[in-house]
Amino acid sequence: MAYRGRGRGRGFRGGGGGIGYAKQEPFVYFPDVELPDIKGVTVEEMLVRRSQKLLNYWKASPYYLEATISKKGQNAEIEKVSDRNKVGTTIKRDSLSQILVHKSFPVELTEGSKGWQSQPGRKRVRWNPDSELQKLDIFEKLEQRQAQNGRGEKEKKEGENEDEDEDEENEETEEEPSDDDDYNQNVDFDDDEDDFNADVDGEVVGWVGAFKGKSSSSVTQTKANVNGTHSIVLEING
Amino acid sequence: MATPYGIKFAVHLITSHFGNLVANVCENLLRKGPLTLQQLIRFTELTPLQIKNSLLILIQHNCVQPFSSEQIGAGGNEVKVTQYLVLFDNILHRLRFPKFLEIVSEELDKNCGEILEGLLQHGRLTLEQIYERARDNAVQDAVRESFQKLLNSRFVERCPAPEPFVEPSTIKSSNKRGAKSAKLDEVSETEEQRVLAAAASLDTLRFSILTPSGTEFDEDKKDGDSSSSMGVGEKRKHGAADSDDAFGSNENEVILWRANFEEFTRYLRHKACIENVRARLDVGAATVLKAMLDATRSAEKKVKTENSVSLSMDTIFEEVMKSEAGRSLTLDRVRASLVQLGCSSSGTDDTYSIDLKQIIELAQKEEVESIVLRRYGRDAYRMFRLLSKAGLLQETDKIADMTFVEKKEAPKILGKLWKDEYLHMEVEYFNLLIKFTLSSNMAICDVVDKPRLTLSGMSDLVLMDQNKEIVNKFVVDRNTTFYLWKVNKPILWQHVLDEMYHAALNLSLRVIHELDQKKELLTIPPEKRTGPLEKEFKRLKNAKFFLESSLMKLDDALMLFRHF
Repeated sequence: MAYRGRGRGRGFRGGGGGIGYAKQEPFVYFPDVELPDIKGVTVEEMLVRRSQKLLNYWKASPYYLEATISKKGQNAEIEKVSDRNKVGTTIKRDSLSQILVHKSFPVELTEGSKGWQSQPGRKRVRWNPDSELQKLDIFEKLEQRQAQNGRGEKEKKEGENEDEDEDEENEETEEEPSDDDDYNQNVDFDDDEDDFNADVDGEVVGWVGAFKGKSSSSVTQTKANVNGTHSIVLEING
Repeated sequence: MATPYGIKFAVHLITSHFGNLVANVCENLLRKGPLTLQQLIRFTELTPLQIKNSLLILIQHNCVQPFSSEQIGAGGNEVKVTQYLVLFDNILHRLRFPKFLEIVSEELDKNCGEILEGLLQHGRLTLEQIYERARDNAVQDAVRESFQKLLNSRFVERCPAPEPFVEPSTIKSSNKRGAKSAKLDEVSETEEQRVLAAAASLDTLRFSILTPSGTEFDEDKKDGDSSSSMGVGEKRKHGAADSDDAFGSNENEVILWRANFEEFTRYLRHKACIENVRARLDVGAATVLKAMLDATRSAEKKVKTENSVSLSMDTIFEEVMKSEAGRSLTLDRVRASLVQLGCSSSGTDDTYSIDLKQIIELAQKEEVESIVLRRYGRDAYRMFRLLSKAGLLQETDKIADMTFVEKKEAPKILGKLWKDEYLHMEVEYFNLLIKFTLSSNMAICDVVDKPRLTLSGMSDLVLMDQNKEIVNKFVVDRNTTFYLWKVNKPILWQHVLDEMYHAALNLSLRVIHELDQKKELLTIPPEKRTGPLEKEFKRLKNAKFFLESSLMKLDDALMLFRHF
């Protein structure tokens, strides 16, 4: 197929007295070339199918790193519970730390990162890439956690993953393990705290948008462990 | 050595498998050589966390090898730093994972294929993870057996050391550019070899499940129960380390396994040789060669081995008889095939070995010649063939004579080939040569540093080769300009390889482009696809299959020029 005529020209480059020097040519993505006879091409069906299968796998795996832009902060809509089950284009990814064997990497790559400290409840290597859920709003996630407390670390790991994926700020500055017992009991809360530490640019994923719509607020979080349940108190400082 | 389009193609592969962030880190490593974490932070402008995760992913998938070395720190003292070396070849191997899977399915069995698929999907796995991944935990024995099969055929190997220490090289490669850039490539290649050598597992351990202490870890023995009770919880008791060692001996050692790309490359190299012989000679020779190579594959030391491992006539015949195709061959026939293959018995003992390097070179030549034929026509093809056979500089008219090309046409065609970097030309030399003066009985040449060309006598121009043998003689006057042409194989091979990477990149991009154009069409469920939509869908599907099959075929040629 010819794609002539797509995107004519790239703007006139006539500056600096060079009018007429640069010839404007249409930009063609795939110029026509003389192709050989298609009968000479043997279709390797198995190879192509295997290749596609591998590609699909990687795209849904934790190995596919995406730079999530925290535009959520600017979106004032609160995600409805019914939205959660909508089949969206975003794929829920598991955490890298669940799959990787941390001792097989240089120390500088794995030190200080929460997920590496201990690997209890490591997820099975085989996961279901078909479970495409939209990324949960953090608020909803906490609700979930409260409601399903005791289901175990699986939930927490998912939450931790989201934090890792979404975090663009210098999380590593807050990754020193705290000596406080409260913090140690629940790994994920430490991560949450990192997220909400708005020392950098005050952008907090999901939260600020949901509450105030301001882009520069600092949010601190305290937590308490009461009878094994978790409750969170938020202070939003304007 | 990574060529310009090689790098682009590698980055494209990483982007489609792991995303832009990882590709950014990868590209920096490809273009700038081994870097430290700090340098990566500076060059990529990504956050440290993103870079760390990217590196973890690249290491996990065997595309990067970390190593530690000493550098002079800020205070003037030696500081230990960790650098990350990108492995260009391993990135390109990702393109041929489907071929590796096919090899294992054919040579071994489906279960082995399943295990390999897991290793390719994840880059590396522990034995425990392999068991977990198997669908039915109850058949752990079967999984173990399949894994052992893979080890025995060397399709799977231990992962290298996570961070070997490498002495800094004595040549300071980082500061020299420009004229020394060729040397830089050389240095970087040897540095890569040193790092890989330092990281590689000991030969004895590479394909062995045994621990260094010699004890074999047997999970069943450990538990005494059936494997189904060997659940996830059991392992947790012994700490985070997924240790495959004998219980209690060395919990810190974690053995990771990965696909052994070297073995797959060797397999494909053999296959290429066999196919070349089949096409060039006959089926009999191909059968004999296949039997010899199958028998000696595990004995080959390196992939690009020049000669196959020697075998005695008896062994060869024995091996030939094992294969179905070989059963009908007689001893005489086998002997004749060996002669066809160009090997005669070496010395007193009746052992034979095949010159594989020669077969590969022939295959490469055929490939390039067919490109020239296709692109530039038959005349160009004949001239090119002449030059590549001759190996020396040849003069235009001479070439035209020997290939029956018109004298007027020859320079044009040769010029075209030269412009596209298929030929090497020396003409400047002769422009200078015009300065020579003919005076009485002496001929003085300005440029005499090239031993090939000297003047002798009055108006004779004599072309000599390196051994001072006269190759050609011309009658000249001061207005004569000569053009000499030559095929410079090493440079040309690199150039052809780069063009192939370019072609591969174009093919990949075209597939993505086609699918992107018809994104909406792909989301329509099959039932709703009617009439023209169904037709369009079929066309799209065909296009994808043809383009990707072409890519797989092109990859055969890529391997021929890069890995064989």
